[in-house]
Amino acid sequence: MSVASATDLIVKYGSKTAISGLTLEIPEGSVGLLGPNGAGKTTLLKTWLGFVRPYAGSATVLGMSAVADGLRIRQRIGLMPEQDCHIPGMNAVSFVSYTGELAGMPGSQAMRRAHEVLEYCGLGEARYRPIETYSTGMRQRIKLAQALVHGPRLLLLDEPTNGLDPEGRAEMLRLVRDISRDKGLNVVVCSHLLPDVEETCTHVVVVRAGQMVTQGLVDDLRRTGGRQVDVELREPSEAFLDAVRSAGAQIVSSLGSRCRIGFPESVGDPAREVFHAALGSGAQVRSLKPALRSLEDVFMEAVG
Amino acid sequence: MTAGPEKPTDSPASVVSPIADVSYRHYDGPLHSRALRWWIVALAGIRQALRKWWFWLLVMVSMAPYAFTGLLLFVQTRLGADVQQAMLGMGSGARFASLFFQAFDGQLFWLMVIGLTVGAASIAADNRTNALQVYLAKPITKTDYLLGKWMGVFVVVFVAALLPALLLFLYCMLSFWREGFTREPWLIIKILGASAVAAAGYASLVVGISAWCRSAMVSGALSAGVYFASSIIAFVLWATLHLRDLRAGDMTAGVLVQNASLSGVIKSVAWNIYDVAIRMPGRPGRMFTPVEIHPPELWIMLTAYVAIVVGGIIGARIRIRAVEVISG
Amino acid sequence: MITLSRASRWYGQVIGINDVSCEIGPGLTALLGPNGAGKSTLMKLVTGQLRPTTGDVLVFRERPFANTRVFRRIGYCPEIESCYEDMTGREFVSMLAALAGIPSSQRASRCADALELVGMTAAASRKIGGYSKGMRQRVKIAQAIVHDPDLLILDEPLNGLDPVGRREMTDLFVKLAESGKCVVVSSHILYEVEQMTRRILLIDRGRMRAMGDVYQIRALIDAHPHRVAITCPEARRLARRLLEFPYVLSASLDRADDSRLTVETRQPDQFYDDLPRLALADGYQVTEFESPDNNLEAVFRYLVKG
Repeated sequence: MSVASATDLIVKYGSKTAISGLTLEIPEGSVGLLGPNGAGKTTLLKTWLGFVRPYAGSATVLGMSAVADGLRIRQRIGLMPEQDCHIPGMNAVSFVSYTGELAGMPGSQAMRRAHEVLEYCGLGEARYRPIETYSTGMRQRIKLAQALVHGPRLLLLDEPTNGLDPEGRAEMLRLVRDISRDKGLNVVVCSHLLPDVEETCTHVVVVRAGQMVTQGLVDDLRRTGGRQVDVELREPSEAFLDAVRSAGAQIVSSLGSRCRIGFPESVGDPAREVFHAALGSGAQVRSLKPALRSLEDVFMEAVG
Repeated sequence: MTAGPEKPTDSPASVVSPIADVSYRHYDGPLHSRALRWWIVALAGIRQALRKWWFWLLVMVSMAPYAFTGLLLFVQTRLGADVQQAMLGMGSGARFASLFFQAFDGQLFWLMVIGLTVGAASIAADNRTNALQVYLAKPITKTDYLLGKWMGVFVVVFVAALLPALLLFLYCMLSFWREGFTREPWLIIKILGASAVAAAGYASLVVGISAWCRSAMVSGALSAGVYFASSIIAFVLWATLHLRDLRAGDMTAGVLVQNASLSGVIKSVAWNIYDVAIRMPGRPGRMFTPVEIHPPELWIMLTAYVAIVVGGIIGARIRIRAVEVISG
Repeated sequence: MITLSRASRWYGQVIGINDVSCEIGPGLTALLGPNGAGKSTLMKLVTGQLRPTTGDVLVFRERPFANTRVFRRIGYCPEIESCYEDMTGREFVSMLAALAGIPSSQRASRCADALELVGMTAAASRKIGGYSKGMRQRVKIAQAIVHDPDLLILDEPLNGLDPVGRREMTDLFVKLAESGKCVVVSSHILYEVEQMTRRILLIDRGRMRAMGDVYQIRALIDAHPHRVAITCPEARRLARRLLEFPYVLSASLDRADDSRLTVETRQPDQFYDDLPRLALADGYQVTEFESPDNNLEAVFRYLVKG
């Protein structure tokens, strides 16, 4: 069963068409929803939440119609919005338990659950401090906590790593990965940072200009044809590339100290060829692995 | 109905393993029915207000007119019966209602300030901090949300208006049971009605303006500005239109124009509810023949009042959106 | 082009940057650091919006603070959302071009060029209020390059851009840097930085933590125990063989998959040099190897935490 879907969906804001005849299905698990700016991703999320009414077509979430069952859908959906949000003078515990009460939890349960999800999101002792004093990373965690508080079945994450520094980003991605594994919770991640999606999602759906263009398992989409390996050297080396070329291989791409090498089918073990070339040219190989297309390549191809 | 594998989360972990699982788990506790959700929004607003110390100060100050009336009554009971007769019982059957209305009139300004303290930030703060989207993503409707915000202000102003009036009512009932208090059986209803009129009027005004602002400061300043501007305009209008009457010492002229302001409309509706005449000193030279000012035409004032309340609510309802509409 | 000598800046008691000395020349330099490390303070010092509390900041051999001669040669793209909602993109760029001192005769053509470079020609006549985050970002970049500055300071310029936009803008920055301009870009997205430049300036808690070529910095960090994950059908035999090398500290097999092996070494250079030799000589079929400690992410983690 699909977690969410759209069928011939058309959404207009006044005279402006944001989505024109979109049909897609979000499978269970963790799904990356990708697309360029203005592709209609945010509008799609808002349609699922019942914030905007479709002009034509239909949208469903967990088998319910987004138009007729808005309230029941929102009971089972958790939204982590892109923008920063906080209430002055509230601390994290009261904010999260308030959103829990809005979802219908009794006060005492909401308070208990607020502590539980804040702890899970790694907010620790900071949860008793007013939200104004929080860093970007902490605010991002509160947004996640409030999306989880009422125990949703579908979590919509809009740019979950927005504004985070590298450490905060790694931590947020770890959380998202953990939530989407074996918790009976489906996750949709919208992000412009494709490595984030690569790290957290098993599926991707790419939309462009209100139309779905590609979808599939991340692993399938990233597979390359032929025998290609990615090699990273300690330092960029022309001599190495020449040595590889003279061994009959082809340099697919090269950026800085990294390159992708395609070998003909006749070569038994590409690693040996790489090693020979390295020893011959004095280059130091720092990593070697069978090539995968980056999600960025997949994306560029799909929308290009 | 649910997607994804259901795990037996309701059995305690200890049954399965001696070590409890403290990772993320689903919530399957009880849920309230939807009918109560607006009350949660209201309660949050009320709680925010009650935490401010100056809120309590305002409530104390706003009680002053009633305390003063009570004090006056107390002093009078200590005086002789004929003095009482001269000062209180001026032959009118509506003497207590008139006392209550005058105290209410004195409190009206402070009720506005209390309304601002509670309500100026209500929707404006959510607008500024993008919290609206988070709230509306929960299973509540925009109407739940607005009703909650409105009720938050209404309840506080209503209680602030009602409490001192009830205390005075109690005092009067205990002290003046024999002295004509029983002649006014509708007084308690009138008190409730007037308090509700003030609370609903201010709640609509403050919440309506708050919805259109992105900061509590702006919203508060705008509400106060609209409120005072309308009072000043009404006064200037009254003074210019009835200059001749006033020169002649006739203070009763143009009650309608005089009250053609936000506070005036609310006051006039309450005035009609209390249904009393205000006594003013008479014309120069005939000071001791007081004139009576009667409340302005009910239907006109009621229409204006309903326009304020409905306008405020509809204005807020239009503005409350979970989506930023991008134009251009 | 930029010289900081022992520059510090604090706000009341809060320190922005603390005793930073560095030189930034032409080319693309990435400014890295966690949130609140002082990146924005550094940028404001260089663009002359702030005066250093102690120490000195020189740009083009002049002090930039309130110095219009310097301002005209600097392009700055701030992180904050510009709030001229009622202007069109073209009006906005044109206004800032006027402020940068471009005579009105050239202004229209310069604006058109800048907007073309950032791919905003089509939407230039629309109001900024209706722009998406990515379009706002592009207009902000256009505004920074419209007067053809020699020094370009960009604070999180890719924020809000979609993958296509990110690649286009990255290419633009690289192109500008290659034409001899000095481009300083702050970013949190390290894999993008890796695609843009090798030169980084890393600050943490107000102090300068590292400056220079990523490869050099990494080589210095290499002295720290370094892990390498290897996939090889004969992992067990390879592990035993590798432990014979004095610089290999440990070799452990993966619990789940016994063709995977993690080696810890103290001399990665030596290790990486010897691995191919060993594989070729003894015939190990190494299908894959990689170090989790090898990318900029790891360098960053090491320097910021250590």
